[in-house]
Amino acid sequence: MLSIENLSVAYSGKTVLRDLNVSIPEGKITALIGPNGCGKSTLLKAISGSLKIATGKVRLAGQDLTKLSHKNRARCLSILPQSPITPEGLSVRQLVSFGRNPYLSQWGGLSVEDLQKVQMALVETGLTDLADRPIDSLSGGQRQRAWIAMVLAQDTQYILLDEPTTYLDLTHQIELMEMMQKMNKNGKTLVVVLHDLNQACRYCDHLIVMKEGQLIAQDAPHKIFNSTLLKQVFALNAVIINDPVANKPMCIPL
Amino acid sequence: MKILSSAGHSKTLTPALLLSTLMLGFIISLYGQSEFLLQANDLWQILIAPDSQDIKQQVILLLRLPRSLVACLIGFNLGVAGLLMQGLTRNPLASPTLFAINSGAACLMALNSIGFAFFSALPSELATFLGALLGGVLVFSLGGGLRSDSNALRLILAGIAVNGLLSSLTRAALIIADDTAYSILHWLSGSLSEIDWHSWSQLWPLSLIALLLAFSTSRGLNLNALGEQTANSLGINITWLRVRVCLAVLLLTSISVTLAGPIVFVGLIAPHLARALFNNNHLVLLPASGLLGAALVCWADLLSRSIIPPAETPVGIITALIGTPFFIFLVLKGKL
Ligand SMILES: Nc1ncnc2c1ncn2[C@@H]1O[C@H](COP(=O)(O)OP(=O)(O)OP(=O)(O)O)[C@@H](O)[C@H]1O
Ligand SMILES: [Mg+2]
Repeated sequence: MLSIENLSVAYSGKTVLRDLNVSIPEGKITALIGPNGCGKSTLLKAISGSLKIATGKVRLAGQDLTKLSHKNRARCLSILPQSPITPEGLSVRQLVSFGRNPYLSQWGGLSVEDLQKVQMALVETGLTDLADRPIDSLSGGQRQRAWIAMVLAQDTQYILLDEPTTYLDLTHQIELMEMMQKMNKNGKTLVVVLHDLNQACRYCDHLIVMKEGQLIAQDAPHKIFNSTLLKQVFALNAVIINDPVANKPMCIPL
Repeated sequence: MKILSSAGHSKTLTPALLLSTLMLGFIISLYGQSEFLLQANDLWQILIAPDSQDIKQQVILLLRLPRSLVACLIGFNLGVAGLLMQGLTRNPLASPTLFAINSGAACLMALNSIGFAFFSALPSELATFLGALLGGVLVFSLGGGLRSDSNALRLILAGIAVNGLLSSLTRAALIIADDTAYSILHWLSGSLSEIDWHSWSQLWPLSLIALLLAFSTSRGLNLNALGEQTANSLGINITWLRVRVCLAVLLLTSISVTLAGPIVFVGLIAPHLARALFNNNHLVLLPASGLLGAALVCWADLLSRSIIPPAETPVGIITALIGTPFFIFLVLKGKL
């Protein structure tokens, strides 16, 4: 289990996350929701160790994550940032094979197993035809799939995705959510930042709701997703109905 | 398509061309433009009939050979240093010259050689290393440092300001030390005229260490191109990567400045050419940028002897003459 204990994070003196206690249930898909600027990306950064933690701990199966070496941590946990940088001229296949970096020795190249994992990731994301294209020549959606493929190739138990559905049309959004469900069936634990609350309720098992750097609620969607919560967190007047297809709560803004 | 075909070509043709350009420059620089009227044949004679009484052979072996070797290695070092800086900062402008690493090294070297205060007590290698560090740290801290949101313009302005400050300090030092001024002035423009075998033996061991360190960072730099957060997620320790890269850059630049003064712009031009000729894999780019730097300094040195023979124009002036238009071209092309 991934647990965040009393976590506080500050950017140059300004506290952004305050005394956060969150636990990510094993083998589930967790959605991280909250208004813009509430600290979702910051939380993911703190978990993945790319941000200095002021106080508190992030534990993975009881072990302090900051005590792990970078390589070992990268074999357990991967993160797709909200706006990753795409270097000029890098091909899709090259990008995806970067996902194997935590498994390489200092001077060694990709092993047969590494190449297989890269190929599998390309197939899973439907990118085999685009594999040799430079990423900067792809559409926003194709690019996003290439980044997902990189994370797939990294093959970690925990996968954190920061707004993976931005830039995708509705079909591709659904496709991505279904891909996440498939990864989850294969035993992965996912944490996803989403802005579409209905998608979050429909595809995720667990919600973490944040506002201004603090935890407001965490539980299964049918337990916590209601109009009071939406009013409190998003200042939004909405009615909640039952989604007749998925049998999950669904909000309709008034 | 164009990208693919040119990439296919470059696998064999470009490296071969690059190496031949370097070899040609190296060989010509061994005998070209000499008061002793050396010829290619003298090189041949050294190989087939070595003669320790032959003045021409001795000139080549004792003066020309070390000079050409040092020119190539310094060029290689500067090319690699520039590429490392650009790779680490993801900023196409980063180079020892623009980030005041050259002028910092030169400044403390000048203070060191005129015997100013405690600087005179330092060994010259240490003085240049500290100077390089000083210049780099000043530019980085004024320019917003390694923060991902630090913008190019601010770094450039910081670079200009610090370069200006350090070179006026250097000039002040020269005015104070009137008598030694000429030789320092010559060295300050980047000159290879004082190079001998002793310089070579000073240069290669440190260069070797720094280059090994540089090559060990190439995979980290490939991932760093994706942004710090992604690189971190892929298992790269960014802090450790920065420390290694900065150390390599400072060593490569300062040892070169100690011997030949600041040879400017090589660290800017070579990486850009390397990137234009090859893909963006640092495992390939590092040696490529090094070889381009070596070829550049080697040819520039040859040129520096040909402009007004027998006088020598400092090689740094030649590289500046090539580098400045190149820099303007980069700006116009919107690369910045
Ligand atoms: N590098 C930074 N330096 C200073 N402040 C920052 C930095 N990054 C984020 N912040 C601030 O921290 C707060 C939380 O930012 P964060 O990016 O975590 O929000 P978010 O919940 O991911 O928002 P969004 O939904 O818009 O992506 C914001 O107020 C933001 O302005
Ligand atoms: Mg965010």
